[in-house]
Amino acid sequence: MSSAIVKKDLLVLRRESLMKALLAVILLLLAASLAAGMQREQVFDKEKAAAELTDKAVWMNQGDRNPHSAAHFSRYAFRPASPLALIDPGTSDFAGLAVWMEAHYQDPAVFRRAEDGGELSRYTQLTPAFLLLTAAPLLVFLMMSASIAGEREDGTLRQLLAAGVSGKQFFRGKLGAGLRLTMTVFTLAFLILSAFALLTTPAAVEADAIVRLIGLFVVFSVYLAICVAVALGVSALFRTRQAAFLALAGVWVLAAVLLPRLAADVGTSIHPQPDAREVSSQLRAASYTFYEDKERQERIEQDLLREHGVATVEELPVNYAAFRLQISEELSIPEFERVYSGLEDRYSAQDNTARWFSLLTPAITAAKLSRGIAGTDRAHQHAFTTAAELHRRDMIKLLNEDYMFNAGNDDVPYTADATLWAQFEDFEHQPPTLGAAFGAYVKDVLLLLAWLAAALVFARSVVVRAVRHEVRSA
Amino acid sequence: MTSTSNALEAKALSKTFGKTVALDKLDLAVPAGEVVCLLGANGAGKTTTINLFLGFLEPSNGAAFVDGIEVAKAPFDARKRLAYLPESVALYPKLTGLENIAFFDKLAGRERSAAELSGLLNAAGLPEEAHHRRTSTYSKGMRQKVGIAIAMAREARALLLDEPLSGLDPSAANSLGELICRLRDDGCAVLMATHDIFRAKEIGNRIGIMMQGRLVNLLDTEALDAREIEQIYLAHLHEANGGDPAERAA
Repeated sequence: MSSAIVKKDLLVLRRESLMKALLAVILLLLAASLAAGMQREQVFDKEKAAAELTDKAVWMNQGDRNPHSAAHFSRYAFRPASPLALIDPGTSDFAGLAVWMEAHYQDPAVFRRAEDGGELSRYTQLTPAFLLLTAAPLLVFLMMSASIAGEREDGTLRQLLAAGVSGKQFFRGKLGAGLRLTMTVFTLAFLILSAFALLTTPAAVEADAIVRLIGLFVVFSVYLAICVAVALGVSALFRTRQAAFLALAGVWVLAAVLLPRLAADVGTSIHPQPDAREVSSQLRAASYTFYEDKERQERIEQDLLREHGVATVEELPVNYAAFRLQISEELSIPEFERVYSGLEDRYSAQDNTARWFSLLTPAITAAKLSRGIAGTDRAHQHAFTTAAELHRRDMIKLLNEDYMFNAGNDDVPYTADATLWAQFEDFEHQPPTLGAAFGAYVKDVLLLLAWLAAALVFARSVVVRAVRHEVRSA
Repeated sequence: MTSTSNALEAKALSKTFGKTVALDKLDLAVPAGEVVCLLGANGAGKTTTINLFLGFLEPSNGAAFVDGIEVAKAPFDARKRLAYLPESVALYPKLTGLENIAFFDKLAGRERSAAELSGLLNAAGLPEEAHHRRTSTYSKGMRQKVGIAIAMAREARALLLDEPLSGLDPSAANSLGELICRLRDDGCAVLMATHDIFRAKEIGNRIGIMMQGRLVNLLDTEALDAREIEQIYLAHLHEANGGDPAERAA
């Protein structure tokens, strides 16, 4: 019986002129989001490739120079593009694209695309993920609003019941039709998106990208299934199409538009962003850790003299100035980590506040998972900046050690040449695989599944109750 | 299950809504191949009786049986043996007549061919050209015919009709009446609620007069003409309004 209802509903929906209009809108929006995304990512890829070439050329062609001067000159670490940024750019536009790996200082990532965008760019983030998270539920609600209310309004529900259809069979049929249509359209759209994402990525496609695509498909499938179940339940609460649609429109505004925005605003209100100048001064103070502690400087100097069995720094087999530079680097590390972990704690607190709102709407959780699986969330950005910092430390250490072991202590200016510069490998960041990063998303996956279970229970109970009520009101 | 051979049977069937008695100890049996028409004013208990047979309502007392199955205990099994035609048959307007009957055929667990279903629509009197037209373009009479075709497709043991002729033009009502008679002749038990004494006399084998939830008279249509039935009915109406039925009948 349920399969007969599924087939009948699909036939009816296919003949709805509204459905044709909705499909046209979906295709139009999808094409627009793909065009915008491809333009954005291509510009990013080109600019990044050009910047990387320039950075390397400048490094290699800097001529003869003191290694510590080269450490100040240094290089940039560029964030690799995620092939799935075309689907969900996540925080990409707001997080820095590159880290300057200079001596003495752990710089934050710079070059945020949002800074280059116009005023409107903040309001027109037409990305496939935005469509799936915000526009798709509205389309599902439009499609499903009449699913049960329409049967009640037209009197066909009574005909079905008289034909021996039970409330549970009716629910299964309605849910099956809604899911089948939604998933068919979504799967087609997602295949197109995936093809574009994989074909337009400049780097070779790795297995992880495929795993992440499957992950995104699952997340959006679950999210849309929740929307279908909610639409079905709300439709069953009303006796007319119009009332059901108005109620679902209200649900959409609240769940897909207002609450996600409110969650972010409340998160930043309770745990405000630290002042950029304040963070900058904390980082500066961290870089001065060694130089401001005269006692420690004295102690380290004495330890070094004792270690080498000499009385003065001039007698040391290493360049003492270079040694101090390296020591200052190493002593600054925990201070930088303290400042950055404080920032991370603040962002985590904001996320935790937002998570409470996830109990009111699945859109927040789905958005978080989408960013995470696409590799464009804060955690992936953190992995990049951490890798860049480790690369910086190694790079500065190598430069300082070259200075330390080759310059001597005879006050003759020491310079290194391109032979040394060529020893430095380019920064190559390998983002964590989804398998490795998955642990951070387990809570959100469970929350989304709980939403699905709750939505199905809600829909089933409301539909069965509506059927019972229809029977009783005979 | 009971051992009864009646397709439809009510045993002391009662339904109350709060303090209002909608149906009071109805005893009625409709064997296969017979049409029983329930005649009565609004609120007399006709639709309540039909809804109790459909299992849409639970009886307060007594029981309704369809093909020996107690409806309250196994409503879905009972409904599988029933066909139901309301005052206005609700069809899916975006589907054609043929698609509508095919859908209800599938619900009944059958998969007839389009030709077979078309044959049923023809038998119900729906013009061939309308089979492939969406039912949103149908008149009420055409929808009722599709309803009858659906009932025929279900091969139901019993047919419940709730004011099926109301609002139809005389020609449409006449052809629908003929269809009901054909179903009866094919062995279907029919219980029809109606206000129309003359159609009830024409179609029914027996006419049950209902007043305020009670079956006050069960008349054999063979033995009486329409005029006599009307007299009896009016007499009961008069009694219900406080008069003496014998006096009114005279």
